[in-house]
Amino acid sequence: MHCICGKESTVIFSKKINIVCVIFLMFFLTVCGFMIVQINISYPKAGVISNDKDNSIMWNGCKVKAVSKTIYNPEDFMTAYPDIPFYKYLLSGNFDNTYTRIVLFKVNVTNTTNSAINFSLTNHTVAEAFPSAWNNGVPPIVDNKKLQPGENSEFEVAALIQDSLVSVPHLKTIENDEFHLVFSYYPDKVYLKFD
Amino acid sequence: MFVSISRGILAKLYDLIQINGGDMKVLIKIELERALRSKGLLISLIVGFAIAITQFVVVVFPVSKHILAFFDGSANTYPRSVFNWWIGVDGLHPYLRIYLTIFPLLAAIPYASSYFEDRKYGYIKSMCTRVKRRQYLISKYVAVFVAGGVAVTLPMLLNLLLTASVLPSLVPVGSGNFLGSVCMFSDIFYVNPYWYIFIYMLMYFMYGGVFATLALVCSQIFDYSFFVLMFPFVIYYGLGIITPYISIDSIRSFNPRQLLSMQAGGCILIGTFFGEALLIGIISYALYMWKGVHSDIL
Repeated sequence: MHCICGKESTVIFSKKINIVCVIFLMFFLTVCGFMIVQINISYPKAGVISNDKDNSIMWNGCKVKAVSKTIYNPEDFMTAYPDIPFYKYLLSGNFDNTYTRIVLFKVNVTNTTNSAINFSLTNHTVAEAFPSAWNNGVPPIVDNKKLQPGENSEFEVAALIQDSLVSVPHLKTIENDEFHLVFSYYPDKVYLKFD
Repeated sequence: MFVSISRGILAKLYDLIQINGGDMKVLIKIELERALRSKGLLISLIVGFAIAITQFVVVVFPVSKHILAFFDGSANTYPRSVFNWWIGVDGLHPYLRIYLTIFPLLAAIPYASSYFEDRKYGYIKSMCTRVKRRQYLISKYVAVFVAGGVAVTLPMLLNLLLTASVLPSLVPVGSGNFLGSVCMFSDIFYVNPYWYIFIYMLMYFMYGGVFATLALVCSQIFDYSFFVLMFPFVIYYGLGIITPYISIDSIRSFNPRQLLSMQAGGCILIGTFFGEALLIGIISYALYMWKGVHSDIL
């Protein structure tokens, strides 16, 4: 009778462990793969809702239309908007404003519902630009208004672009970027595109 | 010029592999098998996996039960995603810091001291009577490099896999506490984040490999395996310590910990990121080969 002992049994044991490990690994990867598919079905990639041919989008019952986008350097911005306090610090002399820019967005909003709506861009939107991938909040210039049914009004917000937010090579060509005012990122990316 | 240099190097490597009827291939296979079956690699992987799994259990799993927490539909909020919770970008908790702190040790433990042991216990003598010493040295270098790279990359990939299983792979957006747009490769990150991670994993492998091979250089100088294993750690930290004192705009930070941190911000340059790994690799290879060929082993 053949006896399995010593080195031979160790080899068989080691082979068994290898097989168990491979089976476990396959099982683990299959489960992970299944879970990855499931979670991404539950939370799919965001859709995109952008300006229509009328240059507007619908947001919370309001028709929001892109009017204009202007890029200023801090001096020009303060000349144009001397009463706006939150960017005055840039002119204090303590900052290097070589690459600092302020981008002003103007939008036109119409309340299409039958009830009054408090509309604010500052509280709900983010500005971004591509391909530089710059993004920032949008402090108010003319914002936070109560719109009566059918009322139409212009809103303005201004966002800061600095070298702490975008790399200098991108900053040099930021004027060529595509600017967005984003209202929501998920489940749909809702944004106004400014040409 | 770069292409012709690369071709030259590849041709020389090919010649080396073909010498003595493919001895090199066999040697590399033997060394890789020794490396990948070593207890050191197992220990390194257990430590790495422990950190990766702990981060998943303590941080990611509880968060995955509330994917839409704080999400109100506005642009200022975003559902929780793989790309701001997996260990690679988790700057809020200590796990990534611990991982990057012991990074050179994780890379060196698997196989870096094997050359030292081969010399100490005479294995190198029996090898060098059968094959050319240069071939043995190269195969050892390759095995140490691969074992170091595998040891530091696999735990990160495991954490990514686990995190991707419970959190959606939603493409990063500007307002979701993701990567700053001044960070290196942020343009890739915001378009194809898995490519971004792939680039970093490749660099983790490279850095793990080159720091492990530093121990080979040290094997020829010191007589204690503890020093050999600690040498990559000392260089890793040494570079981190001298970085703030050397201010060169064209290099910026060359602290490996900062280079490997995916949230390092704008202080990293692509050239430094790739160049440092390449430079350390070339220096360690040159010193190791020069010492290895010229030292007396018999």
